[in-house]
Formats: sequence, C-alpha cells, structure tokens
Amino acid sequence: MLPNRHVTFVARFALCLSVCALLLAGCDSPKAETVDLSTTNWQQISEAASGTTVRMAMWDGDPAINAFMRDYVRRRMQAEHGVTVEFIGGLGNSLVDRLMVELDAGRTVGDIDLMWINGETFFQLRQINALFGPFTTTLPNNKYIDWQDPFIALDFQKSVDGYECPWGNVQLALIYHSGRVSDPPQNRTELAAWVKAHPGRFTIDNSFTGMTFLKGLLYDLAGGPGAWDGDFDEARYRRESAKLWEYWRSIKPYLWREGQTYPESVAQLHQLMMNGEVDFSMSNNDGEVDNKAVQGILPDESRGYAWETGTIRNSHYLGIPVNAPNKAAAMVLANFLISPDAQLQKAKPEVWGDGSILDMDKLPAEYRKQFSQIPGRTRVASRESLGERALTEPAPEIMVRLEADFRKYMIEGN
Amino acid sequence: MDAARTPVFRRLGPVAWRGVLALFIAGPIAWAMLYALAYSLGGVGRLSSGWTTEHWRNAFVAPGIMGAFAYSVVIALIVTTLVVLITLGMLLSFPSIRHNRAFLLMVIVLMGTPSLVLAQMVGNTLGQGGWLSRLSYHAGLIETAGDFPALVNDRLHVGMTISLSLSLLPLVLLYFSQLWGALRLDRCCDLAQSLGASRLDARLRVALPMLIWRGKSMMMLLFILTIGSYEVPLLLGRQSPQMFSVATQRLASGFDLSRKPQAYVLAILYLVCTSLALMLYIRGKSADA
Repeated sequence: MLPNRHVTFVARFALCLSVCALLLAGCDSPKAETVDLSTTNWQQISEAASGTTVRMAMWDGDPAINAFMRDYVRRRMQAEHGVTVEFIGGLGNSLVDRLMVELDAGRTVGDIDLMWINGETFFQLRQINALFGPFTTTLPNNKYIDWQDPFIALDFQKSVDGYECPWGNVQLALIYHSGRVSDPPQNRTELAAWVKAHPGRFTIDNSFTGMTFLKGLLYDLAGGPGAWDGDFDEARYRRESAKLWEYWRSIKPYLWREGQTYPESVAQLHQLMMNGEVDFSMSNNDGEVDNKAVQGILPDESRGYAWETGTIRNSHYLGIPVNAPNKAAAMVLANFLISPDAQLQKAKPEVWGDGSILDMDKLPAEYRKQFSQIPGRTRVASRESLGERALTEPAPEIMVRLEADFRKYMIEGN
Repeated sequence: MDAARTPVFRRLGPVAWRGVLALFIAGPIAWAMLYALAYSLGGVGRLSSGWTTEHWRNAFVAPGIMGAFAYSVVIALIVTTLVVLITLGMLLSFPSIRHNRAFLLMVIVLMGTPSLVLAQMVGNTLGQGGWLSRLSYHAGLIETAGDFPALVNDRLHVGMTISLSLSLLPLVLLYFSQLWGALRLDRCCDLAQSLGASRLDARLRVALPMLIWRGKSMMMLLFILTIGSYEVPLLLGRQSPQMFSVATQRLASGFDLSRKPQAYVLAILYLVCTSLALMLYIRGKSADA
C-alpha cells in the first residue's frame, strides 16, 4: 500500500489535471461556420470574414517563405480585410494524417481553415473526402487564372474541379556548381557518363524532389512528353519502371555513398552541395536556385537548368478542409494569395521566387509589365524557356509506386 | 485527526490512487493500443474495407521491416554496452571524478542538450562537410571532402552510435555515480585493500560486480530508450536497415495511405516488446530493493 502522503500528492495532482482539462476544454474551441457559403455572394463572404481569425497550415521550413507570409500576407490581410492570419506548421502527409484522425473521430469542426497542398496530398485528401468545395469560381481573382493550362487545371492527372485553388507553378530544375561542372549532363545517357567520370559527386534525395526527378527519367524511358498522360496503367508502369531500375543500377555504384544511402530531404541535398560533397542538387522550384544562392544556402556559383528530355512542371495549391471552422475567411485569404499583387511579390527571387499561376494575357497591362520586369533571375533560364522542356505530372499512383519500388529495389535491395 | 477532517482522497486510499492511474495513465495507453489494434485489423480508418488480418501478414513480409527490428535490437545492444563500459571505465579508473564540479557541469550540460541538437552537432563534426573534414583538408590530409571517411549515414553506423551514446551517457554517469555513493563502494574498496587486495583487484572484484548487479535494471532501461530512439537514427542513420521507429513512421506517413495499418501493426509490436522489457526492468528493480 502506498503511504498516505503519496496518495494525497497523487490526488492533488489529479485534481489539478482535471481542473486544467476542464479549463482547456472551455477555452476558445473552434466554432462551426455560421454562414451558408452555397447561398452567399462574395460581398457577404468578405463581411463574414472581417474581424475573424483564419488559420493556415503551411510548410514552415523556409525562412524566406515564412517572412513573405508573416510580413507581407498577414499585414495586408489585416489592413485590407480585417482578417487576422495565423500560421500552423504542416504539409503533405502530416496534414493528411491530422485530417484523417479528425474525420475518423467525427470532429466536424477542426483547427485548420486553409492549407498549402500539392498533387499527392490532393489525391490523398480526395480519397478520404477531406476537402471542401468546389469553391474556386467564387473567388473574384479566379478570373486571372488560366484554367486551360494543363499544368494548372490538372493536378497529377486529376481534374482539380474547384476543390483546390492554384497558388504557384514551378518546374523541377537540376542545380549544378558551375565552378566545378563545366558541361552539365542534358539527358540520362550523359548523366551516366558524367557520374562514371566523377564517382560520388551526384545523388538524389529520398523524398518528393528525388522521386520527381525519377518521374522525368520514367518519361524519357517511356517515350517522352505525353507518355504518361491519363490514368495509371499497371502493366505499363511495370514495364517502364523495370527499365528505370536497370538504368539506376548501372549508375548506382558511382553515386554519392555508392547509392547505398540517400539524403532524406532536398534541404540535406542542398547542404551536401554547399559542403562540397556533391556537385549537383535539384529543386522542384525553378526559382529556388536564385533564392537559395541569395540566402547563402547554395553556393553563389549554382546554376539551374532543365534536361533536354524535360523535367516535371506542376502547380501547388490551396485547399480548404471540409471541417474548416472559418471557410469564409479561408476563401478571402485564398483570393488575396492569388491576387496580382501577392503573386508579383511572391515571384521576386529575393522574396520567394515562386512561379505565378496567373495568365499574363488576362492581367491589366500595368501588372503584365511588372511581371516581365522581375529582377534577379540570373542563375536559371526564363520560365518561358524552361516551359519548352516541361512535362506534366503523371497519375499519383506512379509517385506511390516509385517511392515504394525505389526503397524495395534500390535501398533494401542493396 | 478525526475522520470528518481527513481529506477525502486520503480516506479513499489506494482506491483513489488506482483510479487516477487508470484514468490518466493506463486508460489512455490501453485506448491507444485498442485503437491501433482495430486499425491494424481494418476495423477502423477512413479507408478501411472491413476486418482483415491482411495488414498483419503484409507487415511481416514488407521489405526491411523484420530487418529493422533485428537491427534496432543490435544497435540498442551496442549502444547500451558502449555507454555502460565507458561509464564503468571512468568510475573505476577515477572514482573521485564524481565530486569534480567541472565534470558534473559537463554532464548536466550534455544532459540538457536535446538529442536532435546533439545529432546535428555530431553530423556537423563528423560529416564529410564537417569541421573535422575541413581541418583535415587544411592540414593537407585530404584533397576533397569526399576523401574524408564517411562517418555519418555510414555503413558502420559510427555517427549514429556516437550520437546515441552521447545522449544517454550523462544519465548513466549520474546514475552509477549515485550508486557508487549509495553502496559505499569507497569504503568497500578500502576494506578490501586493507585485507590485502590490490587497488585494481578491489575495484574489479568488489566494486565492479556490485555496480553491474545493482545497475542491471538501468541497463534494461537504456536498452528500451535506445530501441525507441527516432530523431538521431533519422538524421544520422542509413535508409537500410532502419531503426524500427523510423521504419514505422515511414509507413505511417508515406504516400501510400493503404500501408498505414501496417504502421499500426509495428506500433503494437513495439509496444508489446517494450512492455515486456519494462516488466523485466520493474522485476529487476524489485529484486534490487
């Protein structure tokens, strides 16, 4: 039996814990949406949003992006719309996990109003019916978006259908150290020759960017642009991916650490390049080479380019969870984020360097001029030039399979 | 004190204590375990298509999973052995170090450093772009960063083992230092020496067996702590084999949502194994008492 003093301590502790739990339960819990968004116009949505707080979930691993959101977006939203913006860290799988748990638990009013998502997350969130929509046609700035552009209207070959709003458009760029690499490879044959001549100086990361690079190779092996349009074809994937793994095995001994291990993230790959351990990095954002070189995360001699056989171009989006407590404010924020002003600011290399999703032909002349004069893009070709080498994202199942097979054949099968 | 003035929880005695234990500790763990079990059997979850044992079967044949389990055990054994050997070596060689303020300060600083920070520090020291590599370069020992031996994310797990050991070392040092004092080993050694034993014999044949015997439950705790470590293996380990916790998280947060139940299978296995180890630990503690 426990001594009495222990019993008293435990009892007091439990009492304090219970009181705290009760207090927390009563504090500022999210309230359900009070506006019926299906019958309200934009004016009413703006009024409903004014004076409220909107919580946006986003990847918060880049200080430059954080500064843009904190110093520019938050300030202007407060000044122009009376909406307080709060940011929560989270992207991709962590958001899917969170919403899955909330929906499994029957939580109809969550904590997130707007979230930054991309293709595979969109696919996963649609699988579990976690997205609110369609909502994009309600946004006034939707008129500037080119919905005829397949790189915007299709997300991983799935029609967006108004369940997510495009926010930025980027293309995978390989990044090399121009002081150490004079003639960077332009295709898989040249890459194989280069790595054999420079063992240990090339690798890919083991996450999203690396898999996107492999998708580019898969396109090349399957016949080039358009080869993966449409739904997932299991037999075709098996056939073409076998060639991919055969190719990768042929260069694997010449990769960094003999291809036995890979950087966990593209940030780690940047670090390896900065440290001088490898001569190449890559980024899903073609503007990142300038942005990261300015920040000192990549060497000043870094240069970005796309292979002549093409690299994947895709958009990233804004989605509203089905259980968002403040959908009106989420829509106001989304509308601001796709406004010409915010898109222009975001496109500046020293701010973020993110590609715009706006159709220049639909913009007023003054904005068109400003977009064409964005300074600072010096280490990578223009977006128009890169666009000539752009490949659409294949079906999301390919990403799922590539990730699993890369582990199975290239990592576990060492 | 009359009955009317006795606090209600004191009157309830062990019943209240057990209630609190059930409500705040055992209850949530049991609930999480049941939820994980139901998820792994397809009974709950947004993508569930009904009860099945398929996820359990798949989890055991998934590439790298059983290897991860064996690998975690081996790494935990190596780290535990290493940490205990270093600690005992220090204490037996320099017993008075327990009273050295600089030593205690160093141990406390190390103890207060989060394992994630420690992993970064080890990475920045031992990596091919780390400062040891840079020093070697400037000393003319290597020509490029790639010439420096791979000590992080490496085949022999050097960086990960060092980082895990450093994060556990302070705890073990403090524990065995306290144990040395509590067992009055200074006096025991003096007594042995007064009876004719050499100083080495006194420490190896008197102090060492007592420390090992009384510290075996701590060793079990170290093993459990190491086997469940996540951040350090994630940053400094290899992708194959992976520590069990990293492999579980990979399945839980991968692109393929259909593999999430397999992550719950692994979580249950981990919980069962650590519970067994904890039971051994508690039994060891009881025996010590």
